[in-house]
Amino acid sequence: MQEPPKSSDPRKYLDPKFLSKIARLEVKARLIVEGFISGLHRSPYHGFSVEFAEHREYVPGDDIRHIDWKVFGRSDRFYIKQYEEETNLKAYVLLDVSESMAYPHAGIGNASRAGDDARPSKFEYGTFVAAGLTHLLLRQQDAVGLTLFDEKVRTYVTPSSNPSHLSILLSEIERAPLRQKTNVGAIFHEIADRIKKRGMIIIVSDLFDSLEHLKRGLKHLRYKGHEVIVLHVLDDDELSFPFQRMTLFEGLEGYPELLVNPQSLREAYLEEFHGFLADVRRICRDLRVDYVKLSTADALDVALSAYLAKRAGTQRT
Amino acid sequence: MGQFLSQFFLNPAMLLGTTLVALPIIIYLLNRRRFQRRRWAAMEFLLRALKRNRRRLQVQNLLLLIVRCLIVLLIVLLAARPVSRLSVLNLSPDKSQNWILVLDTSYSMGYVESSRTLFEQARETVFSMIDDLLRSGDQVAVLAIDQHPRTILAPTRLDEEGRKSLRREMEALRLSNNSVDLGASFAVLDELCGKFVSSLGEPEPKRIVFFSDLQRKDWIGEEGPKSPGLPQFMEKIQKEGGTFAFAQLGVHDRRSNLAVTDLSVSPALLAKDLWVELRATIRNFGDEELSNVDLSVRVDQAPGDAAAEPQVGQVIRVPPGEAITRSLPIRFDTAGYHTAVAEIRSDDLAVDNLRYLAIRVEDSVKVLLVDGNPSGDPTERATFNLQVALEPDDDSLAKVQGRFTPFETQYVTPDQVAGVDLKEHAVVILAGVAELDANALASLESYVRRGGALVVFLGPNVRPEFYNQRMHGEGEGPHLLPTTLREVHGDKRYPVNLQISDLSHPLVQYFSERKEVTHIERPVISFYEYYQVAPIAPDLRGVRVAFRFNDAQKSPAVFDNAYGAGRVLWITSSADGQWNEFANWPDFVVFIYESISYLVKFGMSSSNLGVGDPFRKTYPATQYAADILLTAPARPSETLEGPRSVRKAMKSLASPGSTGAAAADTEFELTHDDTDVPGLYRWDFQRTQETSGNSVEQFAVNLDTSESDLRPLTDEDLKSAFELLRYERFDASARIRDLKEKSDIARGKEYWRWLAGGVLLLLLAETVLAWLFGRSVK
Repeated sequence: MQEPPKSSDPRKYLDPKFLSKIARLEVKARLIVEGFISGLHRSPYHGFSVEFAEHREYVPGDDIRHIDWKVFGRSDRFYIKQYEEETNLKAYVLLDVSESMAYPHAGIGNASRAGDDARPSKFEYGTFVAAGLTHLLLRQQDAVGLTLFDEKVRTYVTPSSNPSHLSILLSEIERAPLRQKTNVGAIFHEIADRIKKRGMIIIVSDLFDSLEHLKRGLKHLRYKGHEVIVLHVLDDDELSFPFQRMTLFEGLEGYPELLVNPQSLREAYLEEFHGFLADVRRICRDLRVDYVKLSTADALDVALSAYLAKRAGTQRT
Repeated sequence: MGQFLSQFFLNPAMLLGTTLVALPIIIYLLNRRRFQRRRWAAMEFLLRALKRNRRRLQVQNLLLLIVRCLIVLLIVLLAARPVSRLSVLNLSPDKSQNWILVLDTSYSMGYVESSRTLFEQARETVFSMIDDLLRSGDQVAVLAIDQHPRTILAPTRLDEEGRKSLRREMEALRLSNNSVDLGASFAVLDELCGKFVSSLGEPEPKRIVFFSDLQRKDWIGEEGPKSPGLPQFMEKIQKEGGTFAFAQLGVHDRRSNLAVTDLSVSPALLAKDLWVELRATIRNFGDEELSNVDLSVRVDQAPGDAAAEPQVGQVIRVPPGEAITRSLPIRFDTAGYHTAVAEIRSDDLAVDNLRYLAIRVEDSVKVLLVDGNPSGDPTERATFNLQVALEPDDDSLAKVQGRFTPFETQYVTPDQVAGVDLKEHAVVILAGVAELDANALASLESYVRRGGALVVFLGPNVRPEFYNQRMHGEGEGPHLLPTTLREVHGDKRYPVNLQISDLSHPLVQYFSERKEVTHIERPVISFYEYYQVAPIAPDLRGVRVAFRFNDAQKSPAVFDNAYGAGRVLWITSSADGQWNEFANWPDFVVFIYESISYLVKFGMSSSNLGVGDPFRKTYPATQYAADILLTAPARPSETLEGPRSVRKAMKSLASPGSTGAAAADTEFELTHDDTDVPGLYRWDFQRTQETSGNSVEQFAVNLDTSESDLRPLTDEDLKSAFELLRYERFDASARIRDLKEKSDIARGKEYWRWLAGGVLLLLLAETVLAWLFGRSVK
């Protein structure tokens, strides 16, 4: 395990490229959260606090780790920090493990470009997000569950707020294969049917599926009263289509291959792709689903901040 | 196909490059095989983009491909240089033309200017006309003019084969060594013009171009234009729609030239051991004086013989337009044929810088004196003065080293003439002979006809009937006596003198140049009586009147005429002192010598010929040779091969069926017609013991140096000599330039500039399109 240097900026733990070098997901998760928290004071999200809600006087039997020593220093009295109580928030992380999420490392023989190896795949990035969120959620004593899906639900872990739940969830993530197509609409319906109580649905996916299915699925989730955050994970290549040479694009998830001069299609592709993004954004907006576009080159704090903002909003209501 | 394409392209071979038009397509296809692979997650969007833009992409690709192919095509066309041929060939407003190229092949065209002879310039001009001016469909004929004008190329259509024929004939054409016979040339030209007729028999227009140095002496003589019919001929050509042009040759209007115009020996009668003079005359035909002229004379040596020094080497000065004669005293120790060559240093016309002389040296010059007044007392004889003049008594004259005169006289009376072999004598002189018998006359006629020289002094014993009836006879002639004798004229109280009648007569020249010394026209030479003769017409062929008496009728006193190969000199007074004091004249001896020299020169004409003159000589049976080798000088084009040798044979002149004595008297004729090269020719005879004669004979062939007068014919000359003449000056180079310019205009010019512009535009378009089609949206 690669321990971060003590003198380094913790925010680097939010750098996906840095995280790619760390083998264990659990470590990544911890580093993400620590980096995130340490950076909150300097971040625009500093209004959010995750430390404690109030003090109460110490009674024997309390965990001495929770003694607020600053208060003791001021008052000579022992007080216990009382964290926010559980609000019975259950968060469900829906992580897309379809084949498209493997880009750019999908398959053997993928032509390598400069930065391909350093840049994480969408799935890797998604795992960073999922791991970080999971860790953060558990730290805040929220319950978090995990669903891994492609065209079907591959793994479903019921939410739990037990801190040891993290390793369970992370190990499930690490085991996920990326082979199948995506069918987000159907998955959302299934999840919507499965989850009885309201909670927070955090979707980590590239959403490469039918917009109509996506819309119906999200609508179903909203209908069930869930708070939904869509963390739309995309690769920088998909966003900018930077290819120059004649390229044989081999479609993932059953799409055909296409030999084309990328330069001649770039403008049209971007138009299509950004049109897709706009549609997704519109759908989310219309359904009052929080939408965050994430590039695999972006730092992880964006994802975590989005959760916190949503969390805060939920509390106020 | 190639010919078709060459009508529209200057470099049709470059059109093979059109195969390169496929290059952009090949590159496009190859590029599609060179790609990178990438597994792509967002394929749906790519497919949608492709679907939306498939047609646009196809059009873009096609457009770029077309542009690139067009670039290659235009570059190929640019290299092929397309032209518009709409106006030049069949659509040209100009029809095919008829050309007659007249090339002057006289030796004056060998004048060198700018390192090329005028003839070479003319030939190169014709070559450039073949390549650039004469068009397919034109008809061309070529005429060469000199002394023997001839058609070199009959009217020939200028297709591929026609051009080859024309070029071949031009390459084979050579200069002659003679001058132009303008009259004969225009006759042949007229005949050639008649061959250009249409299918309906109508004469077609012709463009006649003269390639000549236009020597004034060819066109204008002392009495006016040499071809008076020329204006009418040219008018006829112009009425038929044709034109007449003189081609521009050389750059200089004035050309200087030196020539050796004469090489002779004086006296012409040569005998061994006799001092004579070898005379070489150099004429300056130019306008400037020429000094430091090296004259060399070689006797019995070949020119260019480096081992031998010339007998004479002089540096002389020759004023413009004048002739200078230099003499070399010489004595031949042996009888037989000798040669002399006079040479001056080379100028721009080299062929006339050499002159040759073949000299026949006798043991003696035998003179037969036929006395019409025989007497026992030699002083009473009619031939006494002649005898003394020709063969002075050794006791009376101091002998200089050698001999004083070449003559050996034989005295006979008229009745003895028939028994004398006249051929052994260089001259026969009749002095006051009344008449001759038939045999004698026949013998005399034969002798003169075969080149003998006859001098006839009239006198009181002469019977005019004999002379008029037998020597003159009936009909036009020729006759020994070219006119008739009339009555004896004269008055002792009023003697007459001689007057020069013909300044150009060789006999006169000697005396006219020394008038003050010889007193030829002064009363010191008195003639009391003489025969008047019937008037001799000035144009009577072969007759020249050297002197006349200064009587009222200007009676001929001394005249000569041709008779066969020989000549007869008539003196209408006596040889002795009965009718005159001629013999008392101090230069009487000179007169006799000069007369004989003049006559014998004609008889010796077979030894010194002009270019083109045939060699003809008869030999008696005793001099027959079965094996004869002629060595002739090399032709200028064959100099490396050296002299030419050819076997010849004598031809019998016997009448068919003659036998016995007649057969024994048969003469043989040796002829040679190919004397077109000046120089020394040599006969080598192989004779048997029964025959005799020189084993080697030589003859010389020389140029007619009138051709050396290079003064050009000016426009003023043409206007004054031929009033109605319309002609133009033909500058082939300017014509070719003009035609090319017209052709450029007719062709609408070449299109290469347009093509180059097109290529640049397309390159720009390709760059812009490629950028536009491949640009990224930020």
